[in-house]
Amino acid sequence: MAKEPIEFTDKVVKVESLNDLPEVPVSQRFTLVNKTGSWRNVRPVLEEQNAPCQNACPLKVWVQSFIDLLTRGKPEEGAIEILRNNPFPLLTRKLCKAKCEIACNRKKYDAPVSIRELEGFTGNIAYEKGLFPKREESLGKKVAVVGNSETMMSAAYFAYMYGMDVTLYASKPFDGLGLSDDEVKREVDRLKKWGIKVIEEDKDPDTLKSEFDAVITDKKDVENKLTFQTQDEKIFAAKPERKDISRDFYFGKRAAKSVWQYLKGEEITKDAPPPRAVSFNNIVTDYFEPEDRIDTINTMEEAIAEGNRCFSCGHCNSCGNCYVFCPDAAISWVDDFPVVDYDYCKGCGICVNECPRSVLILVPERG
Amino acid sequence: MSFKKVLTGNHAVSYGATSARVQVISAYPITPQTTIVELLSEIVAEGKLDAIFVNVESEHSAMSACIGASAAGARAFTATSAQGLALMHEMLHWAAGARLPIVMANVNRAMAPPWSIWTEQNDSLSQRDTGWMQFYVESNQEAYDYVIIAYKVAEQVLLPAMLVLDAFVLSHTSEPVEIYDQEKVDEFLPPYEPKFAIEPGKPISYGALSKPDTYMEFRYKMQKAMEKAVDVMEKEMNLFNEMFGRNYGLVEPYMMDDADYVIVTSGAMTSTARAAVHEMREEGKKVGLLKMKTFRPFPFKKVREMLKGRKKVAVLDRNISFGHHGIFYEEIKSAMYPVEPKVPLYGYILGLGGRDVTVKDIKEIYEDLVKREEMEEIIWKGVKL
Repeated sequence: MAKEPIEFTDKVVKVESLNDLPEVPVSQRFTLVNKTGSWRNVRPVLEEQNAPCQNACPLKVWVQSFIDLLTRGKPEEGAIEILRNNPFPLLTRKLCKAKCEIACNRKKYDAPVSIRELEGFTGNIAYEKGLFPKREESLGKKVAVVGNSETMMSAAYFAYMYGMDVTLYASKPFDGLGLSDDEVKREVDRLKKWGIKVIEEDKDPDTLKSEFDAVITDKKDVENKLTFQTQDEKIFAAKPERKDISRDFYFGKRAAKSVWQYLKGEEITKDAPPPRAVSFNNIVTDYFEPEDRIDTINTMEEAIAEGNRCFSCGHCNSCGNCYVFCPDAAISWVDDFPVVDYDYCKGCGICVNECPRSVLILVPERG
Repeated sequence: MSFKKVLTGNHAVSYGATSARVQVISAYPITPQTTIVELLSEIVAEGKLDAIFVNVESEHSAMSACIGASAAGARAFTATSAQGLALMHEMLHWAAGARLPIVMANVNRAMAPPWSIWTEQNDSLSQRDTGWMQFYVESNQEAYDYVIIAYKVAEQVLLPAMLVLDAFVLSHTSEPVEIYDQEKVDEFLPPYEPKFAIEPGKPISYGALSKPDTYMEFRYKMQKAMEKAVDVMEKEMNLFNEMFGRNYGLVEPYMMDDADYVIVTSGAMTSTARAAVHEMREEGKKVGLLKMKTFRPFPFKKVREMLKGRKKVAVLDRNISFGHHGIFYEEIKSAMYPVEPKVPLYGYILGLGGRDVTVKDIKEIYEDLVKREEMEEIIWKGVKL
C-alpha cells in the first residue's frame, strides 16, 4: 500500500462525510488540552534526602553530591563541595575513621564505597589548584582564634568561611597530631593563601577581647557543650577529643557557627539531628550490578569507577529512570534534571518506584 | 528452495513468523503457547531474524508493545492462550480500533477455573467482537501458512488478525511442514508500508478522542474493512495457491457435492471428522464435511452456498456461550436465516476442556442427526450424565 502523507494543519476539520476521515483515528492536534493532572491524588516530588554516609559523618560532608559532581566530569566543583564541610580533606584521608563507610548502604550489597579515598583524591584537586569554598557575606567583624589544636585550625577555617575577618594565633599549628613539617606547612599555607592572618605565637585569649569582636580558643573550658559558649559571651571554646579527627574538626566548625550566630545578633542554637537517611531497603538494587571496590584511588579513572559504585542515596544523579518510565511523558528533562509537569502527571507513582535512590517521593495532594 | 521439516504446530507458527519477517515480537509465556515465542526468541538471538524481541511482564503489556511497534510501522507479532488472551482484551480493542495489522497466534486453551491447559475455543471466541479477524487452522502446515496469509490480508484492510490453533492436538504434535523459499514468501508478502506511522519529530495523536460526530464513521469503516477482508482473503488465497500450491478458502468442503447430511467443524477436530466422513461414505452414507476456517469476517455467502438444500446439518462446537448455545452453531443459524427452504440445523457441544473427539463420536453424531426430528436448543455429546 502506498504511503499517503496527510497534511497536518491547525485548523479544525468539519467532518461532512466518511471521506473526510482517515481509517486510523489519528489527529494532528495535541491532547495537551486534556490536563490529566487533575486526576491526581498523590504527587511525585523531587526531594533531596540524606544518605547514611552523610549522617554518619561528624562534618556532614555531602558525599553523594561530591561523588555525583566527580562522576559527571566536574571534579573541581566536587572538590569545592567537600570543602564546604571538610576543611582538610588530605588530613581526613590520612587519619579519619570513615564512619561514612561503616554506614554506607552499598555495604549491604557488595562492599562500601571507598568514600575516604574518593574524598581525599577529589579534595586534593582543591589543594593543587588553590580552590576554596565560597565565603558568606562579610560581617565586618574581627575574630581571633587562639590555639594549636586541629580543632582551632578548623575553627579558623570555618569562621573565615562564615564571613569573619580571622586572625589565628598558633605557635605550633596541628600540635600533637604527628604530622610532618611539610604537612603542617601545606595546611597553614592554604589558610594563609585563602586570607586568614596566621600569627605564630601564643596569646592569652582574655587579652584579645578588646581588640576582637569574638574569640575562639582551646585554652578555656566550655559552659555549653552543644554551642561551645563559655561564661564570657565573647569567648567560645572547643578542644579536640582525639578519638576521631572529623569530630575534632566538627567542634571547631560548630564553635565558628556559634560565633557567627552571636555576631549576627541571632539566637545561638544547637545543631538539630539530621533527617532520617535513605536506607538500603529504599534502594532499587535491580539497577545496580556488583562491582569490585577500589581501595586505593590514584587516578581519575579509578576515582570515576569507584564513584560510579555509589548508590547516590537520596541524591538525584540524573540517571533518567523517571523520565524513561513516566507513561504519560509528564516528566521533561531540563538542564540535565527531571521536571514533573503537574498539569499532566496523574500521580501513578511509577517514577517513584523506579527511582533507584529514593530521591522522588510521593506526597498526598491536599483538598 | 522450499524444504520440509517435522515441526510441532507451535514451531510451525514460529517458522511462519520468521518467513513473514516480523520485526517486533513481544510476548509473555503461557502454556500451551510458550514454545512459539521460545523458538522465536532463539531465532532472533541467533540473528536469523532481524527483529526486536521485547520481554514484558504480562499479556496486556505484550499487546501494548505490539501496538506501539505497529503504530511505528513495524510488523508486530505475539502469541498467547486462554487467560493471557483474556488479559489482553482491552488492548485487542485498541489494536483493532487503531487499525493496526498485528498478527497473533492464539493456542486454544480452556478458560479457568477449573484449571485446564487443554484445547477449547472459548478463549478466542470470547474475543469475537474486538474487531480482530479470526482464522481457525486444522494442521501445522495451515498454522505456518496462515501467519503469512494473515499479514498479507491484515496489512491491506488495516485490521489485526488472530490465527487459532488447538492446544496440544496441534501445538505440541509434530507433522511435516513445508517451509517456503524466502524469496517467494517475500514476493507474496512485501514489506509493510504503514499508511499512518508515528514518527519522531512529527507528532500526532494516535487513537485520539473522537466525539459523537465522528466516532460512528470510524466504526462504519471498521465494518467495511471486515467486509472487504472477505474479498481480499479470496484474492490472496488464489495467489497463495498459484505460488505455493495450497488451496485454501474461507471454508473448506469435503465430500459435499451430493451430501444430504453435513457435519460442520472447525480446528483440529476436522481431521477426525474427515476420517469419519470418509469411512461413512464407504458405507454408502451421503454425508459431507464443512470446515469453518474464517470466523471473522464471517463468510455468510460461502456458508449459505454450501448448506443450502441439505437435509440436515450438524454443527460441532468445542465451545459454549453459557445461557445460549455453541457459538459456531448460533453464527451459522443466523447466517442461514434468509435461506429458503429452511435447512434443519442441530448444534452439538463436545470436546470441552480438551476431551477427545473420536471418529466414533462423529459417527454417533451422524446417526443421531439422521434420526432426530425435533429441533433441540442444545445437544451435549459425551457428557457423563
